[in-house]
Amino acid sequence: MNTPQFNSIIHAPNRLQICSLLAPLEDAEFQLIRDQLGVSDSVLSKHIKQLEDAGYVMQRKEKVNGRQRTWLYLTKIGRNAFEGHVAELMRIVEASVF
Amino acid sequence: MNDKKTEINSKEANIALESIRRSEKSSLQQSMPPSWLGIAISIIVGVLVFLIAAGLRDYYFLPIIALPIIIAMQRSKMKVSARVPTTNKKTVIALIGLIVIMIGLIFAGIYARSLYGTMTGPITCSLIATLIVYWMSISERNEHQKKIDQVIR
Repeated sequence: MNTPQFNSIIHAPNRLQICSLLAPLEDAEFQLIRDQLGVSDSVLSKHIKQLEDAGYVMQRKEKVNGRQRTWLYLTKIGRNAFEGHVAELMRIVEASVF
Repeated sequence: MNDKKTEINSKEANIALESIRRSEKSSLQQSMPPSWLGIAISIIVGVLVFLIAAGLRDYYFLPIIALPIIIAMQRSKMKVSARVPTTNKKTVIALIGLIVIMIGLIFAGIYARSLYGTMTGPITCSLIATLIVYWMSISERNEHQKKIDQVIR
């Protein structure tokens, strides 16, 4: 379990969804994340850029049948930051119960 | 930026945790291996066991070619790839066990064919091999489903 730490980069609703979609996976296609979030390519790119700048997400491009596919995945730092953020959210919820 | 202490209340934290659970569940559902893949792989393995046990060497290439094609097809269709757990002792033992069983079935098929001179032995062994692989694919899907149901932090 990671140290609970609130992360304002991850906490933004769309970025939180991106991280939680990627967390249980090795990688996921850009299109799928976009459809799950219900946002445009440019909006998703903007959020991915912010996560990339923080070193949390990386992109991998692959050409399949002449079509370019972009895959996204959480880096080790990103995974730790996400786990820490989730731990902090859980701590806040638990603290309010007791 | 990430070190900045931000105050959020428990209600907001709860909403965020709910959103995380929903997204993780959705991701795991997307990464569920399709049932057709298990059926296809078990049939291909069964055919391979039958061909070897029956001594039909001219046709060995068919399942050997079909297997990577099926896997490549599945990979190109999937939009996500599930996290592969680091190889543990249990997985290695299961894999070795499976290989031993398959080799055993092939030899049993060859022995039955030489003993009775019919294809009943190879067919029976290939059916057993098919069922074993199919059962494994069902178990894998069930494990995955369990993981989806357990998305509770």
